[in-house]
Amino acid sequence: METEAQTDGIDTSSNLIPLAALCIALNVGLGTVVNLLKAPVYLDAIGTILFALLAYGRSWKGFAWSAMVGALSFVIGAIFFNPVLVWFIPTQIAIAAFSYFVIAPSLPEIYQSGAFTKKAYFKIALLGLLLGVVAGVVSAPIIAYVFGGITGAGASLITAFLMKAGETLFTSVVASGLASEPLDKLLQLALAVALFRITPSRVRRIARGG
Amino acid sequence: MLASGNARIALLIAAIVVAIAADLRATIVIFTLSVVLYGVTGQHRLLASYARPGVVLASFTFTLWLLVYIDLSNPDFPDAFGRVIANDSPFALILKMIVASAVVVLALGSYPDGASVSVARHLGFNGDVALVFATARALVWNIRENFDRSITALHAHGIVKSSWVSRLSRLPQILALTWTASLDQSYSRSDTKWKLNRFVLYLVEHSDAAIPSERLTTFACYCFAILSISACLVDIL
Repeated sequence: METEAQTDGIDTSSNLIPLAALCIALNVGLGTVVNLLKAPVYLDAIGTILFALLAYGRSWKGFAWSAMVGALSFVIGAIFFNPVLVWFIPTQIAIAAFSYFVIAPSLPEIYQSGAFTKKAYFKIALLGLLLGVVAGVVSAPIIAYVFGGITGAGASLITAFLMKAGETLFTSVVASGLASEPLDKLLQLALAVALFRITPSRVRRIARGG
Repeated sequence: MLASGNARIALLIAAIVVAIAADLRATIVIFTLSVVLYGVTGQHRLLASYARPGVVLASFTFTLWLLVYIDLSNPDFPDAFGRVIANDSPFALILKMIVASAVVVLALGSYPDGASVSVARHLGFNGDVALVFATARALVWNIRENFDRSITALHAHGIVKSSWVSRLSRLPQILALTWTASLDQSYSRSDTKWKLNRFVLYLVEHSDAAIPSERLTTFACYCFAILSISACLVDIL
């Protein structure tokens, strides 16, 4: 669904700039609030998921923009608030890829008006859990081998508890990731879908390049 | 820091080398050099804003590792302390990451607000990426303000109470209000800029030469990169 359409006389890529910037700011703003609370969730990829849903239909260009939203979120987040974020850019790119290539095409319901069916809610739950597994698997080697297991996020408490109980470093990191990531990503996907539904149709049209 | 784009890239390379190759002794040397570099380049505020999360992170991880290593039935604090600060310990790894991140932050975050586009372009980002980087950096505080205002507005309507539990349970409503308010502000502003005065377009086309670089800070960055990489090489050899 690649399009060369022009909107309001400006190339559609340029129209993505404010939306991409807002999604990055959403990631950084929310992620920092949650990090300060040391809650075992992150909420730092809602903007990435939302942007992937909004830009779906632009072929590889849409994915490239979604990945850029994720990567720049963690560059800016590292500059402003939490220096360790910059090492988790691969996780954001994996979230962008899964959201763009798996979640967006699997959820045609969100692009239609009207209330969700039970099947749609079930799909959102399942895709959210799968997104959590993907994020957990990509993050685990970074946490284990780059940070030695503890990064300062709330999930580190679970890792420390498991290591105290005698588990190995890698097992503890993977287990804490799989314990916290699916719930976190389910919550993030649900919130991103909710934000998608209240985004004005004009903005959605611009994002999709129509 | 008004150093050249190549000096910033040299800092990024040094950060990667530190992250891969430095041991505890080299990390301490490079930490000292980074503090000096922050001072030479006049980035005291950035250092202050970076020091707080760095100290919190180091303290948090130190405490957790101490708890992991202490045998609660027969506590031996000196032994646990020694294991936490050992050269190949996970805590030494995170100290190394904090120092490497400090160098990345200096390379990517040390410039006046108006120079975001220029610096991003000198780092090799294309026009769109540079603009997104600059705009997002400026919007972060905007989103945080809208988030706080949304809580206040919903509180005024009795939807959100003062407790954290209430705020977390009403997170979807708070977020929805934050998002719609931010979209409204952002698109109306960008519409005005694009359609009426072409100001942004001018920036896109002419921003490359906007900020001159300084020789002293550029030289200091190169010195730091060479010394850091040398410190890591000495360790390896």
